[in-house]
This record gives sequence, structure tokens and C-alpha cells, in this order.
Amino acid sequence: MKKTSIVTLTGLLSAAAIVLSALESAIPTEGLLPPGVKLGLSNIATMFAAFSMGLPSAAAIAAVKGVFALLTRGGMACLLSLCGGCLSALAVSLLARADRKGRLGFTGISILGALSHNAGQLVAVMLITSPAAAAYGPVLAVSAVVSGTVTGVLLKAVWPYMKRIETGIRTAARRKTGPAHIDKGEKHDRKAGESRTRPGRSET
Amino acid sequence: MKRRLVTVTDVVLVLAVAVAAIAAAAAAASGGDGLFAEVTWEDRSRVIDLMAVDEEYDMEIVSCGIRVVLTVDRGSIRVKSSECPDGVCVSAGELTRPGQCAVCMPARLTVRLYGSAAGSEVDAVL
Repeated sequence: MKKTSIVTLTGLLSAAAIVLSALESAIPTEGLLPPGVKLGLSNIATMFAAFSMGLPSAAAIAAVKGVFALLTRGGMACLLSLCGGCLSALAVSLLARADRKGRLGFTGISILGALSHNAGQLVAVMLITSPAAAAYGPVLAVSAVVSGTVTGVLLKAVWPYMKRIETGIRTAARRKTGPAHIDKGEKHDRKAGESRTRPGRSET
Repeated sequence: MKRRLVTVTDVVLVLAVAVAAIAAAAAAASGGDGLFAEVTWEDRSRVIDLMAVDEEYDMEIVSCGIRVVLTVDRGSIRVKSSECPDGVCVSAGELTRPGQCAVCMPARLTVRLYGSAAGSEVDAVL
């Protein structure tokens, strides 16, 4: 995939991740979810990036989410977001590559991503406060299963639409070097001075 | 390759996590008939014997510049209020069983319940 396409799609997914994360903070979870636990809807974007573009894009989205957390909720939130997001991006990228045969479904990979996200955050909390915080581990594990299932189902549901966006971006990026070459599927490098819009002719 | 939504491996994974979580929670909740609360903040820590409490009282701690008030009662402890921006500690509610905990991240404060004094890492019990 061309670099332009990767940057564009990653940027798009980062924006989506931020919107999703802002939306889910607006949902009141006081009685339903344990304190400090969120649904993790923004991980849908991170997972799609991990599947289609690999670790660098997924990590970039995690970094953008971290900066957003820093700007809106402060340093502690940023640190926790980065710890969870980076570990989760790494886990999902590795799993997506290792499990080409499809032994794990979308739900399974999503749950493992959520588990690694919570594990990363719990370790950070334990290092900052005290090892006693490990008592929250079982609660976080079970909530990772629940939120992982939700995000896995949603990812499967939006997958075809996101794939279409990805294809559209790739096609548009290729179009920059001449429309005629899309149909033939040829690779064509523009020679110096060749017209961008009318291939085969010079600019002058 | 079309990836399915749920596979057999997924179900096995969920069951494994559920079993591990329940086992860990049970292990944390066992180990003694008493009820002790260990409050850790900054470099300090204090253990309270919750069964020896006669009257409910408030304990005020200032940790990392944030004032946290704990309400200690016979058999229970809770974070009554905190100046932190999140409020996760307060919404943890009342802690009454060994293994439960409440954490205030901005204040770097944790409250954890144990079944016996030996369960915590502190030697002295106040």
C-alpha cells in the first residue's frame, strides 16, 4: 500500500478513534460497569488499522489517543491511555499476523486486545500507587471479556464499509499518477516533465 | 481469508479467563476471618482493624496535594470524598470484603481489604 494511503487512512482512523472515545465518556456507566472501566469503542479503529496496515499505524492511533487524553484529561489519563493502547495495539497486530488461518474469530482477537489493554493499565497503576491495586485484576479481566465481545461484534459489522473506504483511498492515491492506468492496472512512474493529468505528454 | 465472528478457540479463551478471574478473586478473598484495611499513599501505609472500630470516623489524608477523606466504620471503609478530577475512588463505594480495593490514581492512594493482618505487607497494626 502506498505511503500516502497509509497516512491518510491512519489519520482518518485516528479521528474516528477520538470521536468514539469522546462519545463513550458521555455514556453514564455508574451502575452498570465497575468504576474506571470503559467500553473501549475507539479500539475498533485501532484494530482495523492493526489488521489492514499493521503495528506502525495501530501504534500511531494509540499515540494520537494518548495526546488527546493529555489535552482533555491530563497527564495521568495520558499515561494510562498510552500504556493500555500501545500494549493492545502490539497484541492485536501480532495476533492478526500470526493467525492468518483464522483460528481466532473477531471476538477472540478483540478480547485479547482488551485484556492486554487492561493489563497494561493495571501494571501502570500498580507501579504508580502500590501492588495492592492488583486486587482489581479479576474485575478488569471479566470486563475485558465483555468489552472485547462488544467491540469484536462491532468491528465485524463495520468491516465491509471500512474496507470500502480503504479501497477508495488506495484508488484515489493511485489516480494521482494518471487516470488511464487504473483500468489497465499498470504501474507507471512519471518521468520528469511528464504531465500529471495527461500521461504521455510533457508539461511544456 | 474470511475471519469468523466467533470460533471454538474464542469460547475456550473466554472460559479460561472466567475461571482464572474467579480463582484469583477467591484466593484474594480468603485467608482469615478478620477484616483489615490497608491504606497506602505516597511512601506511607497504615493498616486499620475494621472489626475493632467502635464508632464511625473520618480519616483525612493529603496525598500528592489531593485531600482524600475516608470513612471508617465497623466492617467497612469507603472513600467519602476526594479532590481528584476523576472520582473513580469515590464511586468504588463501600468496601466490605477481603480482596476489594479502591484506588485514587491522581492521589496515588490505594485502599485494600485483607482477611488477616498477615495478608498485608506491613508489620505494624495501628
